[in-house]
Amino acid sequence: MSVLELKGITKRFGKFTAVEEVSFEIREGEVFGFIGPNGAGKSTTIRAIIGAISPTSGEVRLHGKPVTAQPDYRKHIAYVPGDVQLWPNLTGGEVIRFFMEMSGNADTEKMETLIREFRLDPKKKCKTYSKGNRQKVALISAFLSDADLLIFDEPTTGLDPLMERTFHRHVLSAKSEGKSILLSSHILSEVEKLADRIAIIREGKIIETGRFSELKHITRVHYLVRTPEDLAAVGRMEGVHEFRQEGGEAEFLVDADRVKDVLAALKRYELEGLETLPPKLEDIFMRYYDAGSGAS
Amino acid sequence: MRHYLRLSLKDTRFRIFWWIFGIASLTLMMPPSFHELYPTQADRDVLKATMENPAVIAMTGPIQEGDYTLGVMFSHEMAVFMAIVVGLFNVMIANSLSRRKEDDGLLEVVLSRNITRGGVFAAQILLGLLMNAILALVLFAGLQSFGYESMDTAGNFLYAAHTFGFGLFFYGLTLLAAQLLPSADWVFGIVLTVLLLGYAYRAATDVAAPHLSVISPYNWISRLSLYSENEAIWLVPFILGPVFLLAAWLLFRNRDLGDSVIRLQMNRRSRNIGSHLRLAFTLSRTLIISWLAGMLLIGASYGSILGDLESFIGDNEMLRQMAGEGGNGLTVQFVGTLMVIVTIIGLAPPLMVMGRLLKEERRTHLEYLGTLDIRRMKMMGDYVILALAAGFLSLFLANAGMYAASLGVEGIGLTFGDYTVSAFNYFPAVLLFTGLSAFLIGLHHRLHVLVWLYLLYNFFVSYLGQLLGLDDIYRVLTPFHYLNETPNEAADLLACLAVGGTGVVLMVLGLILFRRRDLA
Ligand SMILES: Nc1ncnc2c1ncn2[C@@H]1O[C@H](COP(=O)(O)OP(=O)(O)OP(=O)(O)O)[C@@H](O)[C@H]1O
Ligand SMILES: [Mg+2]
Repeated sequence: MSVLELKGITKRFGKFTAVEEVSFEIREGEVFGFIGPNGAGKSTTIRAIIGAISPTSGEVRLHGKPVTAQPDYRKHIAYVPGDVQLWPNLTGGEVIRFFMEMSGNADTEKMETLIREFRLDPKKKCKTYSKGNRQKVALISAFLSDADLLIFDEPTTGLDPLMERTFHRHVLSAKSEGKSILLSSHILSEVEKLADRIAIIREGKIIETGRFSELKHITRVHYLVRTPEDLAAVGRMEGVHEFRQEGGEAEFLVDADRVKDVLAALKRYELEGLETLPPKLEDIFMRYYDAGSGAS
Repeated sequence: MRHYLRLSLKDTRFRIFWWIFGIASLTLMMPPSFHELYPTQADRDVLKATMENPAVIAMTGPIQEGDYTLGVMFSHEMAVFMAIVVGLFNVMIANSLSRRKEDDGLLEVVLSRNITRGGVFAAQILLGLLMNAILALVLFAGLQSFGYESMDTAGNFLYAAHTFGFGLFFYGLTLLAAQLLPSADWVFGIVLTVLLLGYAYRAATDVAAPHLSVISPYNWISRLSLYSENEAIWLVPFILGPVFLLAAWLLFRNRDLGDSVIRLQMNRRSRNIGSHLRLAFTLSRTLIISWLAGMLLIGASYGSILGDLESFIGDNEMLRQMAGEGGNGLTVQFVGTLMVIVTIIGLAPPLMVMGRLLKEERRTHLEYLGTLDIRRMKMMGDYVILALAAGFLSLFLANAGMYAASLGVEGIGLTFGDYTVSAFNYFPAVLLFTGLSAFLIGLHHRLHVLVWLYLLYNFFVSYLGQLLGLDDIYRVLTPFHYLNETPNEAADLLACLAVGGTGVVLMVLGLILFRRRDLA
């Protein structure tokens, strides 16, 4: 059962199309990664979901019904903006309490646990908080809510590695409670680690959606070869990238659809070892990124 | 420094242009229209006689001795009034270039880029000098171009020079306040208070105790005796502007960015903000309370001069005739005028409260609050409630202040009930302005400035209408054309309903539009 479904969302600002025909769905208990370069349209899509802007065309559905037919659909959503701006003269604790009151939640014990785990000083005014601390306030409020869809727009850009891990832990525990999570991020290792499925957006269009394993076909395979011979000829083959050979070791990337040819070619050499490194999200991303900048 | 100056100029040039354009056209419109309305010296002398009454003096400052020539008339009726606008212009621009930039973290970025504090500050000063110089130049050239006999070069020069001096005074004061106070909101609030209370103080003392008036910069303008004696010596006090700038520099040089001389750090218990209305109130509380205190003060200062009307009338044969037996009619008439002015000032706080809503939007707070399932209607509705409450209390407190301060004066014959009725009589104007504000915010997040322009228009029309008996055609567009002038006349219930009803309709439209529109 899908919790959130976008159907052909298009958003224009004047003549400029920020987002075009974006469709995807997020299922129950799933972490959905949303990645793409700066200005691709991630935040715009999210703002359409939370109702800050209304799409020029297309439909957002929550729990199977269009949100336009459910005026109170946002009670199912908790959101953490990318650039968290808080009320400068309220303390962090006051903001967290306000969010709890508004979502009718009174679990002060959980609140205190979260505040402790995220190491936040709730007595300080928000204007004295660092970026990371402001983000913590928003994250704590989101994890405290009863919402079953959590939306994070680049939530970890201000967090230190330790806090990042705390964040990851809470995402996974929210997931295990059956909540769904939309995670927009630039940090690929994070998406790779957390997301069950991902969507890649570029210039306002979704160019790929699916399970990470399904996307491997569009990635590049990373090979590490030990050989006394000179592999320069392989390096010149079509679909081989970033070829390097030093001493007895060669390292290169091969487009997934060229792997067969390259392996066939390698058979002709005397190999002492052949290692395949696991494909990384980064490689998928870079491939599209390259294509984008190459085309423009 | 040059680059930073150019950057700042690019950033603010449109705003500066519109301010200068507005001020210059408003000012330069006047001499020809005065000339048309009162072509001969005899016409103007008649006007002058009717103007020697406390209501007019409270608005414009004392009337110069000697002939009421076109030049004298122009400076008397325009200079003090335009000074408010010029002051506002300088406060807004100076604040946006200094404390606002600092609050937004932009100064920090700039200072990290090989631009010194001296450079930043020099750019701020130069921009202030530049914009005031351009305004002065435009005014001088414009006034010169008329070639009226009574408006000679010396007078025109002095008019332009005082505009420059007054502008720079408030530019400097704002930069100084930017070092003293902890945020741009505080700076704006405090300097605006000085600007408005300075005017109110001058109004009260010009009528009641002219020698005390000299503390207010507005009074220096009156003392310049423009277009007659041309007492240029009264430009000297405006030296305080550069002095403020120097003081600001000394403070800015050694201060941590984001810090301030006065900290205003109150350590309170943690508050429990359980609703959006409470949140909205928490955010606008300082603003509302300080305005209400100001309104009470303005009302009281007006009330306190009522007692001096007697002696004032005593000197003036013509007024004595106008006032009839005991001068009572005149006092009530004067109170009626004051109530209109107080109402127009009291319309500012509701608009500022509505401005908070826009600020919440700009800071992306509304987007965030939306995900707590707080409806747009509720967001705007809560600010509308606060705005209406602030507006009503403003009117009520100003009237109460006027009543309280005039308790000791005998023979005014106005009861507390009369003042309360007046507050209710003008409340529909609050509904209208709040409604218009909600409507504009509902349409687009950039349109709110129009309601401020409309308020300025109202002030201008009431002001000039009072002085010149301006054509009713201008007043038709203001609520004051329809609402009866209490306490001279009884309140007109039908007019109240019509004006208030228009406001409510606009409000409802605003709420509906706001529910649907994209957030910025
Ligand atoms: N209100 C608006 N008016 C005009 N253009 C807008 C508006 N909001 C966003 N855009 C444009 O839409 C495009 C997509 O912006 P968006 O913020 O969705 O990108 P993003 O994927 O979140 O980027 P980032 O990774 O930098 O956060 C950008 O080109 C942006 O300039
Ligand atoms: Mg974004």
